Amino acid sequence: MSQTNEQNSPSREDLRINFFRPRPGFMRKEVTIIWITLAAWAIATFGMPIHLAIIHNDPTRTLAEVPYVFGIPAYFWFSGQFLILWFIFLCFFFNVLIDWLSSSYRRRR
Amino acid sequence: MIESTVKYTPFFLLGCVLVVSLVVGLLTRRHDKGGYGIQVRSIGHAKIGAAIASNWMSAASFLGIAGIFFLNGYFAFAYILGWTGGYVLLLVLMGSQIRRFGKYTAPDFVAARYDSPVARVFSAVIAVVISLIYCVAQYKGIGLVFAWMFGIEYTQALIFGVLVTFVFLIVAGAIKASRNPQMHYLLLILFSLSR
Repeated sequence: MSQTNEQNSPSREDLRINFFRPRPGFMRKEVTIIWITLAAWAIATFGMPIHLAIIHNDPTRTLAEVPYVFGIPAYFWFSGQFLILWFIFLCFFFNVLIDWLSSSYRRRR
Repeated sequence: MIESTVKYTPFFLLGCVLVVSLVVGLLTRRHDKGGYGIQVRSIGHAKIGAAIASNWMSAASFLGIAGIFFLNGYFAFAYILGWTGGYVLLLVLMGSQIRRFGKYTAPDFVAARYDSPVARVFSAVIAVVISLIYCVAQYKGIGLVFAWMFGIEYTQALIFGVLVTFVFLIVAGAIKASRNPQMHYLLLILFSLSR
């Protein structure tokens, strides 16, 4: 599992690892998964507050226009329940993908 | 204001939980000292999930977040989303990486990555400072609960609560040292549902 411990002296290539320039193969796929998860996280976390701020600063629209979900304002439900479940789903999604990726590469080796 | 009477039902419930936790802790006590604080490999997925969830639902989240909601309304969600969303960042950017690296705690990882015992000491000190700040909130919650439950002064309640916690931790074992987190997870969900 831990490749780093087996190689006592890593080569110069292994020392030059850049997250923003992933090498083809395992690392590129892993970084893609990380970016997808981070994007899903950021859009859900910051999207609704930004949307609310836009509504709030627009005099032609009011917060009263916000639709209701389960009898409470949609943004309230979104932050209170949906986002928590979304975070749990993201963790699950990420773990499943990473497990699948590492097992597929372990088999190949 | 806090009424100065002993609340028997919460006291009975808390006593039951503590006694059951002690029994569970004693029954499933670990005899090797090495795995006392952190033992990751021998715990299954669902169990470690339950342990994390029971750490999430602490005195700070029950009392503190309720208070922040009372004061701030909708904007109190910033706190909940801050630390729940933080789990995603922690998992994606750090957890999976240091797991593959073969180190399971931040000081171990820092020491191996930078090959320096001094960095390990610094990392450990930072971890202790962070958990001290966290503990301030938790012990404030414990003190408030004990003061309310026994109808005594906050300071006395705090000292009493710390003593109870101390005994409980020593006997029943700290985080992940026993089955207690998993049991607390079930109990917290049951109590939350029964509210």
